[in-house]
Amino acid sequence: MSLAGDRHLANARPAISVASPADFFALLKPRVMSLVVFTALTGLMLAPERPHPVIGFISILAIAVGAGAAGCLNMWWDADIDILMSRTRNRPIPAGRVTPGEALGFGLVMSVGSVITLGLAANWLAASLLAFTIFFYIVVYSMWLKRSTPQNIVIGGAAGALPPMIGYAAAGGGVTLESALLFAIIFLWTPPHSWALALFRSGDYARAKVPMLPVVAGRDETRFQILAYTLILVPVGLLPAILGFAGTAYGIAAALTGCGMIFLAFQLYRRSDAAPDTKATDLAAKKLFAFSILYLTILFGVLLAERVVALFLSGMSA
Amino acid sequence: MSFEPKDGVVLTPEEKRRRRQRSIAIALVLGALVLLFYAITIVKQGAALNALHS
Repeated sequence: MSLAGDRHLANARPAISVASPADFFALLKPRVMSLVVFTALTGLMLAPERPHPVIGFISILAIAVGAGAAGCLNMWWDADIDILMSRTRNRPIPAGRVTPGEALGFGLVMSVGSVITLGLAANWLAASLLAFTIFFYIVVYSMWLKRSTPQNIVIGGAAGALPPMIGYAAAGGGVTLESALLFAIIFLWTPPHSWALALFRSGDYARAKVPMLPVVAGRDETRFQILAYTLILVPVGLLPAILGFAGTAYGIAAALTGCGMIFLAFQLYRRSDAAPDTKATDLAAKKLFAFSILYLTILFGVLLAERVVALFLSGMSA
Repeated sequence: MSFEPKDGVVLTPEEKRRRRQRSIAIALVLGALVLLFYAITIVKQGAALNALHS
């Protein structure tokens, strides 16, 4: 290296972190974390055994932090494509507020800490499931599938579907058909939900060279796949009521909101017969995307409410 | 008493403010972790004692 280069290095001011605590909190993807808290709490409450309230609270906290850590590591890995997409370019790493090294360290410490805490507070089956979720989301989804196949979110969706199963296991319920059903509902919900988003954000994904289904297979194929997955999702959403895990209120809610999902998915599918009116298709996709969030919230909300009411009534009669 | 080095990196007021915020956040998280593990210990020991006496 030349003397001039050395002098330049000597005069250069090392990068000093300007990250605030809010930036680190943003790395945990708080909106995703809130959904994880909600579904994990539902799983925990549905388990036949009742954990001590303190242990239950700490378990949910550990699951939420573990999911947040996975989100942080995902942002660390995807920083190069996040900067290309309008939806993600203001995230802490592409915006330059947090360095990749800081995010990696933060994500790893939170991952290990959340798994150990869940193992010590609840049990090691739940902790193993949480560790597997983080591994699956980062290594299988983010590092391997996301940039290599349009089936990325189908397989990767397993990571997002595991929190209710972890909550159920944390309460001492193990892994049962009931918790597997909760997993299946979120697993089958992910493709229509994510592809609806990908339809009206396909430009972003194309720019970042992420092979989402609309980019690789086209919008018509995506609309068909959304309808196909919705037609599988809705009957599976009814199974908790059919198999006796949930009550009548859940059955009615799942049937009504399921009809809504099929209606909106069919409306979106019909757009393929029309002229290529992108704005109208995007609107239909946005409607399905928004309703899919409501659908999952109602399903898990009613499951949770039914269990809370049952516990309250059993407490009154005791 | 504040110490300002004559050589090396001198932080700007904004960088100092952010560093202080991060330090406070780390202190709060560590404090919360102490309480968390204390609570886990008490609950677990309580359950073990109950099982022993029943």
